[in-house]
Amino acid sequence: MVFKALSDPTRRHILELLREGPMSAGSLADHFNISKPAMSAHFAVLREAGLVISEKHGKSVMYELQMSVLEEALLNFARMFGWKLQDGKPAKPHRTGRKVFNRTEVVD
Amino acid sequence: MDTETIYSRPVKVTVFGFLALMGVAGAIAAAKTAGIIETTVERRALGLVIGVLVVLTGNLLPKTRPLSAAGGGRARAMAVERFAGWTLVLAGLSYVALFMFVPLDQARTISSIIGMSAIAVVAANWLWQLRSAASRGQKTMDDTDANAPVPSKAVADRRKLLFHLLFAFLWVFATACAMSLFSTKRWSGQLGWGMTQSFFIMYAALTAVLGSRRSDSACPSNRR
Repeated sequence: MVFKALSDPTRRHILELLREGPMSAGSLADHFNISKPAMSAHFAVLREAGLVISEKHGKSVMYELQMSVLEEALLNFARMFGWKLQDGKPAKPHRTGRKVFNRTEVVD
Repeated sequence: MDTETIYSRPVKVTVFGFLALMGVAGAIAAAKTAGIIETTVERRALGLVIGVLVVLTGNLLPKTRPLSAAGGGRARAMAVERFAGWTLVLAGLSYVALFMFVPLDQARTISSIIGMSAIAVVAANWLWQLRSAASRGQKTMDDTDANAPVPSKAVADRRKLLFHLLFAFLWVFATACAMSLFSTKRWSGQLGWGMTQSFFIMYAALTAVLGSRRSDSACPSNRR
């Protein structure tokens, strides 16, 4: 479950954003150029893997990171591994929004 | 799967892991008493068990989030927990490596210094973050807390319980490190007694301070 959750670059970016603190589903979705159902699917995978917990806060759903040290090490390893795969290839923008991530991973 | 179910999994792993390792430690002590293993083997094995316990505690600390029960802001508490988790995992791995590969006398001395240093660094970082939050007039809140979800009572209660267990474990660990480091000193007996007495004083003080902080956080005027 954890490996599946960490294998996707979008989910890894969600986890990186949540390192800063709890965020609403809407705020997280603003950082990605993908549909809401797709985002919901990513959230569900992360929740099932136990990497995030969610709570209803008014009308929105808030997400909070819940990663062990080993899981965080795996996340960092997955990121580094992704960067290695991308070596020598130009990075292309992954999304539009306030903060642009570059797609640095080939594995999706 | 609801939040309480997701949260309860690492808590169960922590509790059962602790019980299993304490059982292993008991078995090692019993084997030594029965004359099955020698004192050096017993000490090495107990060192390994303690190292694994510290790794387990550090690994699951950012997942079980016990320090968020003490206030200081959710994002700050998360940062402290991640720092504490990494520090304890590295200290625990060092402990394991020392008791596996280094001569016993040196392993006991170096591991004790590493253990006490790790606890001191974790405690200093936590207190610094609490002080920093308080000095900004944020007794329990920070920027992310304005919109932070309020955990359910069951999750909050488990975090409080784990906070107390973490404090007790780290105090026992610090006592064991101090006793091991100064075992040859004449005053080592008094040191152990002093550490035991200090535990109750510190525990009472901590409970009182955290109780007052939680009362503050319960006041709606403190929420922005």
